[in-house]
Amino acid sequence: MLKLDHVWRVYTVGEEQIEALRDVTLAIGDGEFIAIVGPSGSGKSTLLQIAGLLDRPTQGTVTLDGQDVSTLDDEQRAHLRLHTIGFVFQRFHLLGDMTALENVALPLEAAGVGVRDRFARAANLLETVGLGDRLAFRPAQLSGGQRQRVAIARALSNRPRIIFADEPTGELHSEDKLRVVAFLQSVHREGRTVVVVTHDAEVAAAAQRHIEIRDGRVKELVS
Amino acid sequence: MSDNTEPATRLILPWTSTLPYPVRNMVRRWRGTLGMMIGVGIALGLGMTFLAVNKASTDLFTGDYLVSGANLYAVTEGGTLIALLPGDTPGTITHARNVLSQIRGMSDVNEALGVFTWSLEREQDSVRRGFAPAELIVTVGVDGNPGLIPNALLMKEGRWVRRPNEIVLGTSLSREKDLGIGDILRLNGRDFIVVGIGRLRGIGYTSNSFAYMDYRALRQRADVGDVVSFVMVGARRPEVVQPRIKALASLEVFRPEDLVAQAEQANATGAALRWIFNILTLSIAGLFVTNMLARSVAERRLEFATLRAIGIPQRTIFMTVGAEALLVSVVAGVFGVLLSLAFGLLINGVVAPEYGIESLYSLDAGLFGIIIALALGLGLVAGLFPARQATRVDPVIILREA
Repeated sequence: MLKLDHVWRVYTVGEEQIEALRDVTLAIGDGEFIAIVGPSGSGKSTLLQIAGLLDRPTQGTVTLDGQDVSTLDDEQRAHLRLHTIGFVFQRFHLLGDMTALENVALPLEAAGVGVRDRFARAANLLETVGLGDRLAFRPAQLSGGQRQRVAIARALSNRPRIIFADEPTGELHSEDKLRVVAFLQSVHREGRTVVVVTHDAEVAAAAQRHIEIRDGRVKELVS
Repeated sequence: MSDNTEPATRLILPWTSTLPYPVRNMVRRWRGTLGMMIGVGIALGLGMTFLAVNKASTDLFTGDYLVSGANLYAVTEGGTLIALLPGDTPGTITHARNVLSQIRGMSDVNEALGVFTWSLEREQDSVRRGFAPAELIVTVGVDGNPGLIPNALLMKEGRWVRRPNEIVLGTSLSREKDLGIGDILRLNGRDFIVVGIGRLRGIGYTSNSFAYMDYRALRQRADVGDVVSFVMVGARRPEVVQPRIKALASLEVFRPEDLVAQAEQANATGAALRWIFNILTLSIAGLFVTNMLARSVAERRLEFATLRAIGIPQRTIFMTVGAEALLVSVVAGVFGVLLSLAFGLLINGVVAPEYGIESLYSLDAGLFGIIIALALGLGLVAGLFPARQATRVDPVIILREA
């Protein structure tokens, strides 16, 4: 269970204070598929970054399984991101000078998985996302949809409990979009928690629970 | 979304796959660091060459003494055997025959050579014009048999003098005067026949420019008394013989190590300046590496932000940049050594012969080792700042901007 309790996130730009999140309280249960929707600049990505332990709240607490994770140091939070959380970004953020296989195997290496196991597991994940014949391709040699599938495989490599996806279909064509949604549903069916930030109604429709965010405030929508 | 560890197909992985990420990244990015490697390598190569030339300049004064086979050198009290500073002179040992016979009579002494240097005037068949300067040949008279001291003679051609009318020419002198074996050289009114091209070791770095003859023949030509400049001694137990010679008369007795120490001391200022130059060069090279790596880190902020976002530990990112600094240092060190050796070949092959010197570049593995160790240390220090910069990349800001 991931809980955000009275979370504020305030950015200071010059002399101006921007309240990206305002007193957000939210609980994300294990095995949920949640879509966070809202207009641009409403605070969706900020919410995802704080829930995903990339960013820290200015005020309030974030707890994971009852442990306050907002007070952990950078390395402890990185350790949690490596083992418990998987990220999928809108722009994929794959490492350009590594092959698809190496990109997926990288978090496994950081987690201490041996060479043979790590590459075998990475190859199987890529095969699962339909890229078994693209293992040695570099990101520049793949289409947008293929890159996002590599990113999904990378996010899943350490068998995380929670997947955070920030506009995962934002740069994809409709066919690729449907494929990515199908993968996220499949991940969810395996019992993992999936939290997706999206503008896209089709992606949001795949989720069980919908949270709308406007001007930094959260509003639960009836699914 | 199965991630069963049994792959459906057999994977053929590149050899680099088994390497840790920082090393793999270093191997992959070696082309990007080529400029740094060459720049730092040139700096190191120059530094090493300066040190090797410095070593050679000390060797130039002392190296001959170490290999001459003579293990004791006696000069009159207050005399200086190696003329390093203006006014340095060995002086003269008086009653030379008596001193030499006493030294030769000591147990543990194989041979003692009396050495005396004087300038003789060369006379040629052609009539010398009144305004033309006299042609002087620095001539060394040797009392004793240098053949009894191992390595004391370095003969290129022919043999050492056996008769009073024979002469041996140093290689530079022979070349300069265009004289060879069998030629006649007339000095101070007497003809000498050239029987060998070579030199006596342990009498100074210009010994290739000297002529060598029997001591008595030189005394006769120079019209000097019973004196020698110094005595070279080949002894079985120099530590025992040294105090005995010292007690003989007012003599200073040096061992080759003492001469090296004297030369190094006289050369200390030059050596210190060269080390300062080297440290400055290394520091500039270090700043260069820091600057280039910092730029590289700035250009790769998205990569580091992604690594941080997916949970790669800071130490892995730190090691990634640190390994690049290390790679630059190691390759630059090897390149520097090769460059310096190439300079050495050029200096010893082209420049040194122009001055009639055997070696102007002396390789010293110890010094090279110190320079490479300093370069490695400096490389690591130079990598620290960019490596820390890489670990401090904020993924939230960078990924939002991307």
